[in-house]
Amino acid sequence: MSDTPAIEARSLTKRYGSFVALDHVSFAVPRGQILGYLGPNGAGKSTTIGILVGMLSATEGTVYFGGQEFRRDDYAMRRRIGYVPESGGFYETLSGFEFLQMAARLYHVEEKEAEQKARGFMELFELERVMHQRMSTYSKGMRQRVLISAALLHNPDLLFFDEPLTGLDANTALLLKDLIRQLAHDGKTIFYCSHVLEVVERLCDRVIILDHGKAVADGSMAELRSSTDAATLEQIFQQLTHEDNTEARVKQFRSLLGSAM
Amino acid sequence: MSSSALRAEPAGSSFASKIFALFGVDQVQFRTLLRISFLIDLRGTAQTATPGHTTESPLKSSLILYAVYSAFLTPLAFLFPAALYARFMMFFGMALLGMVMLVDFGVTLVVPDDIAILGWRPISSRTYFAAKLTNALAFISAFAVALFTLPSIAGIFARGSTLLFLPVYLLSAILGAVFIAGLVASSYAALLRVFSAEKFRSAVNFLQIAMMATLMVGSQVGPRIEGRDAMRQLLRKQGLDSSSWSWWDLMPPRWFSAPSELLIGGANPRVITLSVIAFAGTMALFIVLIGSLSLTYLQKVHGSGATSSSPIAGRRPSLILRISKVFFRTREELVMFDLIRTQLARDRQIRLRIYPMLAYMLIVLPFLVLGPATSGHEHINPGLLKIAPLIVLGLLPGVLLPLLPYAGESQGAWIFELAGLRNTASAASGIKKTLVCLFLIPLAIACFAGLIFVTSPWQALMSISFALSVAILLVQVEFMGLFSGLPFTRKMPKGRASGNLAYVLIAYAFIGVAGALAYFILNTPLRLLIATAVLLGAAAALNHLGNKSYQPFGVPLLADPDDPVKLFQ
Repeated sequence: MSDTPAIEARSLTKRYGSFVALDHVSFAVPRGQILGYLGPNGAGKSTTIGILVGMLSATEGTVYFGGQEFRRDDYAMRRRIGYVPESGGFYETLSGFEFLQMAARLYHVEEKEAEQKARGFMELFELERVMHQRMSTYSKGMRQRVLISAALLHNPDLLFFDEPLTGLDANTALLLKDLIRQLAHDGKTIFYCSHVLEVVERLCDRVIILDHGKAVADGSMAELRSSTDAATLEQIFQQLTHEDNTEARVKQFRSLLGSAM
Repeated sequence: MSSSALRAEPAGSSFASKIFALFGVDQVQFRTLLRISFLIDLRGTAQTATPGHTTESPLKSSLILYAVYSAFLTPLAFLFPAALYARFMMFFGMALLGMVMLVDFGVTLVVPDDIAILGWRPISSRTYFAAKLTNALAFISAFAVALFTLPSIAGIFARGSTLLFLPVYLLSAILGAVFIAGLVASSYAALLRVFSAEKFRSAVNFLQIAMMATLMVGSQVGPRIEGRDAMRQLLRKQGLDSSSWSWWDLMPPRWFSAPSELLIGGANPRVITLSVIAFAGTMALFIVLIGSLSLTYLQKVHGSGATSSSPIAGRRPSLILRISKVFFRTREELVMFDLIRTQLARDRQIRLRIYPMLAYMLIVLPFLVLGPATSGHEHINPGLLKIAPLIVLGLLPGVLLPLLPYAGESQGAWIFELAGLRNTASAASGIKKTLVCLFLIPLAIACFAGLIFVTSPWQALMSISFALSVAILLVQVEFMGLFSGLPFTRKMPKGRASGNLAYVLIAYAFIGVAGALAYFILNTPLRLLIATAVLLGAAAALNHLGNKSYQPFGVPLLADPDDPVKLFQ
């Protein structure tokens, strides 16, 4: 296997006027690794993922896929990307089947194969009963399953997940976690963005924690534990993102509730 | 690359493929995006108030209504010489199609939601733009066919016409529609280049309102001046001179009527030049659009998805509160007033639909009142003084009521789902009262201000009162027939806004009867006063009936008489 990282970010910076959403963030993800990307709300996770999948341009810094610089108009490189957005990302007037067919055709998958793949994914995610219904009638979990399928069916080697378990029932969540592990085992590189620390702890080979646009931790779970003297990812996260005063804040909430009653 | 495991469709070698390749458009993606766009457009949209419930796309009915609408104009073919008829209809038709493009299909070109679905996929900006533009062009061409087929057939029978008028005029009209659509698309693409993404939506809104007002006013002014100019020529030379140049030749409708004039009046440098401009101009516009302006379109549209940064309307100022409490006596009435007022102030899409309509209403007044006076009459006909405000005010309910149920950028449905309604009759009353207070009364005052320049204040007041009573009666009648659901609770399906213009026809019939009465019978102040009182009495009787039968779908009725509407207070 080549040493060239599958995904590499060098000094990524994104500014919106005077606000710095991302501040010189750098990392390299080897092929087949599952990277957990964490951070409190507004830390810059979605901005990073937006830049990595080509939806946003960085103010400074460069992204490399397999050692090659990724430019937003490099459509051959975009074909290697699969992305599950945190919200939206579907046409509610279309049926799940039509949406998946569309997604496959946009990658030049032949019509028949696109149909087969769409049907296969709908069956795999137990959506065959509703496959011809409009997505406006789907539950949140059903929509999420369609979005995951739409990100996978062109067989990309770089996968970006932004809160993929949102709305999924326990069985589908288990299925997805197993699937992600298997995909990584097959050599696909996974960028996993989430707030669910327990899942990240169990699923990811390595974790990056972001706070106020800066990477404040980067390493495997063992490395993070030894460097912070904390036992769990939750504790590490609290320490590094200055959320260690939760008890005091809970007290504050209770007193506010008390005064309202 | 692992995706190579998929069997990719080979690039085609046909002529079409070469054309696509020439413009840098991916043929497979183009076809896919276009198919999806059509599917989305032709399907109705889900109604927010009742999840899962869908409506039929109004496009088909809009096309039929446009064909019917055009039928009303075809008799002109038997009155005018063919060349004048061609110019007149082209002015009117292109203005109307421009409005259709702006109100209904402008949204086809700027879909901020697309970026979340397509933005990360390997789709070039050109491919995306080409698909969106083709989608809009297909619909606008269908509208052009619906609008121009009957007038093109009728044109065969116009003085000096030939059988070839039908294909030549129809094709010119479709080309004109394509040109208008291209012009709107170019304006959007150019704005996207000039403005930052955040300012883009505001800029587009101002552009839309300005273009819409220009088109609406132009659709009234253009054909009238065109007609007057041509009539003068006819009187002078016993025929329309299609060889002399005028400033009006700068207007695109003149270019697109030129091929028909070429057919009818023979070749001369003017019509040949204008015909060439029509074809070459359309081609050039699209080459510039696809070749240059579309390059960063997809990326720029992304930023336009940002929510409006304009401040949310604050609490109702105390003066308005005090005044509105006089008219809006129940809490539901106040809720409706507040909701409609707030949405009109905040929502750019709603403003785009409604404000140009008001400009359109007012432009009719001077033409009706002053038109005959400038044509040689020394005195303004007193009958026209009654009819002019009647048309202005009478058309308003039929235009506005069908627009009110549809949301723009923000939807109001959630508040009804959350709060429910205690008294639907009171809500109905609130909607109608709001329409009267926000639109009819200000428009009546504007009409009054206009009329006192040409007649006595007393006569103006009498005319306006009569017109207002007719309009209030129409509000009652049309509320029962045209209004459904609650204000701003549904997404407007494409084709609905322009289709709504056809409702004007319904109002015309009623206004025609009232106008004839005013002109021939109600020619003393006493008669006019009695008629006004009778109409208001009829409106009051219908008010009760309409309020009682009003059933806003999908909204729970609350048994608890207290909380819901407190949210608005």
